[in-house]
Amino acid sequence: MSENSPTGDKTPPLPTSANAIIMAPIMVPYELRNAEAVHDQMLRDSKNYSDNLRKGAEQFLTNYLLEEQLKAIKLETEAAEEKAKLQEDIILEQKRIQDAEARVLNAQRELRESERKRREAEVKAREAEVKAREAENAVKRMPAVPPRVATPPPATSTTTSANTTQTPVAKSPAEAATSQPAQPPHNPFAQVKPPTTQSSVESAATPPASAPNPSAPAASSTPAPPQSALQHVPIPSQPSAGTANQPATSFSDMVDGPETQKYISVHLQLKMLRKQVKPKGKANTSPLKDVAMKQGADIRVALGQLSIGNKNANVFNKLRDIMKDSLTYQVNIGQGAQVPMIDPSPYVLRVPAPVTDGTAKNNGDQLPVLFIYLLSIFSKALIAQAAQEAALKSESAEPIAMAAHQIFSHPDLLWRGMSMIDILIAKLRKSCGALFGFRGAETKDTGRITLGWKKEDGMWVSESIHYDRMRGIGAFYAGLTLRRYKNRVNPYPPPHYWRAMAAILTCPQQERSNTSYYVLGALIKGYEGKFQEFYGDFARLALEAALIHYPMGAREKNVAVMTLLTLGDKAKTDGFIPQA
Amino acid sequence: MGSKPLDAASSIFTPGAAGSSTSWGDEMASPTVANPNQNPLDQAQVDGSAGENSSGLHDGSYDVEVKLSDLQADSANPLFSVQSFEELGINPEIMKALYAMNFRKPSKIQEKALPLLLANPPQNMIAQSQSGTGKTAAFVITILSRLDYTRPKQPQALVLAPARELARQIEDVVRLVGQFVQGLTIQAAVPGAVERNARVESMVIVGTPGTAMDLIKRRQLDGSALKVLCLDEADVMLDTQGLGDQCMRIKAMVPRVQQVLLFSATFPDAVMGFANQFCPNANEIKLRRDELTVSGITQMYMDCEGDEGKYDVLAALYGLLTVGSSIIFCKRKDTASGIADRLRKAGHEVLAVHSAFDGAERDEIVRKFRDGEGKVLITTNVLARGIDVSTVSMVINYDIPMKGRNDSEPDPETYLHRIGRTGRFGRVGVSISFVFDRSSYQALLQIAQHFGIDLVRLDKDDWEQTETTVKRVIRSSRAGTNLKA
Repeated sequence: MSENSPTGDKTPPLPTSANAIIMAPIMVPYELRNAEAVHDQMLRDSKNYSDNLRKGAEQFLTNYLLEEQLKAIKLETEAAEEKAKLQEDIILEQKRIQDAEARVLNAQRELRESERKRREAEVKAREAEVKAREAENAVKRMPAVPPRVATPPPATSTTTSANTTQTPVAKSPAEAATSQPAQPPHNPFAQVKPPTTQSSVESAATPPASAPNPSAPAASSTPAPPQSALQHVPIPSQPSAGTANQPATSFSDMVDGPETQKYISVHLQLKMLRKQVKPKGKANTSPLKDVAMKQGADIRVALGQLSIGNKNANVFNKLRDIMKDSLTYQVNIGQGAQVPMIDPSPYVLRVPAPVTDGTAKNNGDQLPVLFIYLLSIFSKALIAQAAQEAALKSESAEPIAMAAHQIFSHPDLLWRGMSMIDILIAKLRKSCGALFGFRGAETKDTGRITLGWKKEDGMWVSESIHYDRMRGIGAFYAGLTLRRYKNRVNPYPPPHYWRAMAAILTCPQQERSNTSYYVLGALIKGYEGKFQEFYGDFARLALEAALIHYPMGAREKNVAVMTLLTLGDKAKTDGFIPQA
Repeated sequence: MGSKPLDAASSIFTPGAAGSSTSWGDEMASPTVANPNQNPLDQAQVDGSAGENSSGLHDGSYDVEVKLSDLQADSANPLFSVQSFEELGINPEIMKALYAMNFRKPSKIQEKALPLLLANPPQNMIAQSQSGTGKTAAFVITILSRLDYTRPKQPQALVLAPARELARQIEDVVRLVGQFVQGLTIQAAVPGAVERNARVESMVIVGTPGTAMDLIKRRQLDGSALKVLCLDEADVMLDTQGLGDQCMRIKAMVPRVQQVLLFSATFPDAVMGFANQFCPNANEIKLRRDELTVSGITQMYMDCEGDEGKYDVLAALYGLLTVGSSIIFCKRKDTASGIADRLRKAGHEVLAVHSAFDGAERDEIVRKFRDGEGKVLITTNVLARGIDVSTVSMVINYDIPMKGRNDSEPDPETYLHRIGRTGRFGRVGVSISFVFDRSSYQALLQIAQHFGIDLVRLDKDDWEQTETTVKRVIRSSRAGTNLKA
């Protein structure tokens, strides 16, 4: 180090003092060689020398380090620049790829779009044909149709036949008809058609019953649907080769149909509405949010209080009061207290026309926000409660379904005389796709989403939780549909039960899942009697198809299938299935 | 040990030997079935959801089949199993009942214990497994498999439980599992259930030790042909002075018993000596202390403002989550009645049961709770153990369980049994303990340390936060596993 030292600016004194020290012993007179002063001086000198040396060395070291740092920084910046350049390149590359992909996607979309249009056109053509034929038939039958058929339900769609024959009488707009027509038999999946026929049964079934009403022409159409469905049920359709490729989507009209699409959109719209009404975080407070939270909690409490074997009148009253209060809930937004309103049409399948007789409440084109919000919360809570309880005890589905009806069919809680039950159905569709004809592989992520397999924290819930959930929702669905009132209209009548069962039973063997077995079992268990009440002998045949033929055709006799067969054994001994 | 086929005859659990006790934790899946052609593990590889549980879509032509991982495929989970009930060689009539009861797969205890339990000659067994993992079903299946159905009037199996509710419940399970078995007769031997001088003439007797002992003494119950003697909640049966004596006496009066079974979720070390004496040369299945809690039960606690503040918190909890049925445990009978009144006013269907009610009333209350006529059950420790109502989704420790003189020590066993009333067989449940002062906090802390569990704290002053926390915690307890490629 000493060889390099001259570079430092304080180094000049250093060599001199060094010399001095080296010289010192020579220059000191001999007699003074042991004098204190000399010794001191020498010590001082040497100390100075070493101090200076040290200082110089330190100086040099810091300089050196600084230089090194500078070099390092330079290197780093260079590296960073290079990296940035590389990244830029990558991004550019990615963009190019994305662009290409987007173009491909666009092209695909266009292709699909055009295909869809073509299909729609086809469907429409067929529709027109069917309508024409129906009109012909209807004309032939016309004298027999009693005019009162059209009068009872202002809410639900009228039968297609009634519609075509009595267009002047029935004021229901054309949409009523258009919501169904996608179904007329035109492809190998025609068995799924029960829905079509169902919707025609729909209006017929809401008044007293389907079977014990033989004279009316409407009744003659009632038994027909089951029959057509049943013929196909035991022999699940051979799926066309193409379907195997996209099991989730290509299944049926039911899945692709406009109704289902609308339910999907309703579900999304509700999700957005809930976020608006109850934004997350403490900072976002508002009187509306407070009341929404409180009422939401009250709804959950009330549903948790439902018990089996009791009348539950208190709970129903409480729920009704919460809903009614929400219709008049006022909040001050700038210009004094008023009820915040919203257009309800995104939350329902069809927009009803205003009722003219003046008695109907909520006849405007807007409804209170809080009301819609609470209906959505209520629907979620109903399904959560059913999922929690009804799998373990199917009887508990009954009070939950009754609670749903208490709200969705209450005269004061309708919109222009129409039930808002679509809000619940949209949630049901999402939670349990199997009921609506959705199929998916339980071994695949996409399949699980289709089936409504829940994710928590980004992980699939366990099998047992999922199956319990599905069974609970299935039982709830049965309780919801298989119901009849003396003085009210069931907004979601029994044909939907038939349709759900048909959707599962027509599933080709390779697309079946344990979920569908469990849902099917839950739909039936405990509801054999009610099913039979509504559909008579056709129910017995349907049960045979569901509990005997369907599980017999399973690929393997796993627990889900055996459970179904055991249920079948029991139904046989209980007389719900015709003995062989 | 995982590769060695183990059937009933070549048991690896050497009876009574030092190495005979097993622990779940270090155990790999051992194919218990003696079927060399069909290794259940292979099936599990193809579709972990369960060999027999695979779903409909096996069309591998357009997508890669993935391995399903699940709770029952996770070897650390007490519900893990590599087998199906079918493979355990259970009588078809019993199998049918299991399907009807919606059993899907055997749990670990069932899979481990059943081959040993069903083996011939009959061997004794001391078995420990977490709450809600199917212990009762395991011994009921054993008993039903050992009966001689040509002698329907001869008592052949005796099951003892520490409380009448529990005995009634076991009776129900025997009926359910035996619903398709022709000619099965069952009877309960609990206080008030058997007329004086009436003879007990059923194949399976389920009862409490006191009553059972009296019946045998008075010769109303003929114990000469009893083959199986089973003690449920065996640790408390043997540890509690009176019950333990009665059990010993009963055992002395039924000398021909071939198989003694002790089952419980907890076996404190102090009891094990006595248990081995009562049940000699037994196969043992034991758990480590930190394996005792079931992951499906989310354990939380809430700091309440004074004893009074607990009620407000309680009432608010019902709006926070979707609650099926719930059980509230408290220390004193008057607290129980007090909470019951207040909750009733809030619209809940409340049932309260404690030792002040007589037997028949208690049976009725528990029946109502089980049937869902009442959704909230408030009780003292009478019902901490064993009661299995699958819809219970929340357990509240209104008071922290204590034991010892003047309730000076925390009681971890009781805590465990209490929270075990929810989260039955793979379901999820929530337990919330209320603390309100230093001593209750300390007690809870000691319990948590005893089992090595983390309790989640809830804030009573910020309900929005609490709601988020509860949802998050429940979510993570529900979260299973992802599909693995």
